[in-house]
Amino acid sequence: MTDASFETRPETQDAQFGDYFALLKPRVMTLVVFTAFVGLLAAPVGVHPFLGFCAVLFIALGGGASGALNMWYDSDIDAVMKRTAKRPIPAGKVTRDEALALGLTLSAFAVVFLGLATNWLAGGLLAFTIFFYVVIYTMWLKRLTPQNIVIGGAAGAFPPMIGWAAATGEISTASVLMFCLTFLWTPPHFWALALFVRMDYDNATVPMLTVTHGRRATRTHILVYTILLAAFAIGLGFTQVGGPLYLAVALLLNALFLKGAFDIWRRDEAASEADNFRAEKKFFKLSLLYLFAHFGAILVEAGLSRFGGL
Amino acid sequence: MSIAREHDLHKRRKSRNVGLGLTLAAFIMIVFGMTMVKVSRGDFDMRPDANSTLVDIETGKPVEATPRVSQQSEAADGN
Repeated sequence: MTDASFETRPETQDAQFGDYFALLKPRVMTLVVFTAFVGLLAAPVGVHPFLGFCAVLFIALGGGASGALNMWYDSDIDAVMKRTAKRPIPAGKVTRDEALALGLTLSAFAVVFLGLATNWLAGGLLAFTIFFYVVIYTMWLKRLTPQNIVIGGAAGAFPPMIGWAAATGEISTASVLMFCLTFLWTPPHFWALALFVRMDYDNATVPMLTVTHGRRATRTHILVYTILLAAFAIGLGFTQVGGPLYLAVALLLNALFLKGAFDIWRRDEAASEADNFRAEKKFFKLSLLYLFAHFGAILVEAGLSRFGGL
Repeated sequence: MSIAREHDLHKRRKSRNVGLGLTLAAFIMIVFGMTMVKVSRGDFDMRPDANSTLVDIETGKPVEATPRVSQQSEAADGN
C-alpha cells in the first residue's frame, strides 16, 4: 500500500483517540462507575481492592461498549438531531464499522474479564445488560414505544446490581431495590427535561411521550413514577444497605421530590411558560442531587458499618 | 517513504497511537495484577484442603489424606 491512500483523506477526518473514547459515552459511564462502586462496597462481602477496581472498570467498559453499539445502530437518527449530530459517526470521524468492531470487542472483553475477576453471575448480568440496552432498547423498542425512556432506564439501572453480584455472587433484595432506584428515577428525570427543552426527536421519528401523549400526560407520568420511586427508595432503607442516615436522606429528598412532581402535575403549559418552566427546571436539578445523595448515603452507611459506626 | 522521516500521517495519528499504546500497557498491568491477586489468594490451588475427605475410587471408602506439604519444605527436600 502506498501512502497516497492516506493523503487523499482530509486531515479533519482522521479519528483521534478521543473520538473512539467519545463512542463509549463517557458522561453516562460516570453514573455507571459511581453506582457500580456503591453496589460493590455496600455488599456485605469484602472484595480485594484490586479486584474491586477491576470489577468497576469492566462494568464501566461494558457500559461504554453498549454506548458504542448504540451509536453504531442509531447513527442515522443521531445525524438529524442537533444534540447528537456532533457524535463521532455523524461527524464523519469514525466509521460505523469501526464503532461496531469496538463495541463488540469491548463487550466480549468486559464480560469475560468481569467473570474471571469476580464470578460468572456478575459477568452474565453484564452480558444481559449489554444485550438489553443494545437489542431490546436500541434496536427494538426505542423507535416503537413512547415508554422507551423507561426501558432504556432499566439498562442504566443494572450497574449497582452487577457490583453487588461481583462481591457476593448473588442477587438480593437490597441489590434489586438499588436497581429499582435508578430504574424508577430515570423517567421523571428525563421527562422533566423533555418538558422544558425542545428536543428534535420528531425529526428522527423517535416517539417521545411529550409528543405522542401530550405534555399533560407527561406531567401525570412524572407524578406516578415519582410516587413509585419514593416507595422503593424508602423501602431500600430497611434492607441491609440502609440505616438511619440513608433513611433520613431518603425521607427528606423523597418529600422534596414528591412536592416537585406534584407542582409539575398541577400546573398547565400557560403557567409553565409564564415563569420559563421554573418548577420543571428545579425538579430536574433536584433529580441530579436525588440520585447522587441516595447512592452517596448507601456508600456512607457501608463505610460506617464496616468501621464499626452506626 | 523513509522510516526515519516523520510523515504527516504520524503527526495526525499520534494521539491515536499513544492512546492505544497506553491502553495496551494498562491491559497488561490489569491481567498481571489480577493473576498476582488470584495466585496469592490460592484461587488456582487445586490440591485438596485439610477438611476434604478423600475416597478410594474402587472401594468407595474414605481413605486417610496425605498430609499437605508446604512449598518451603518441598524446596528444602529438593536441596
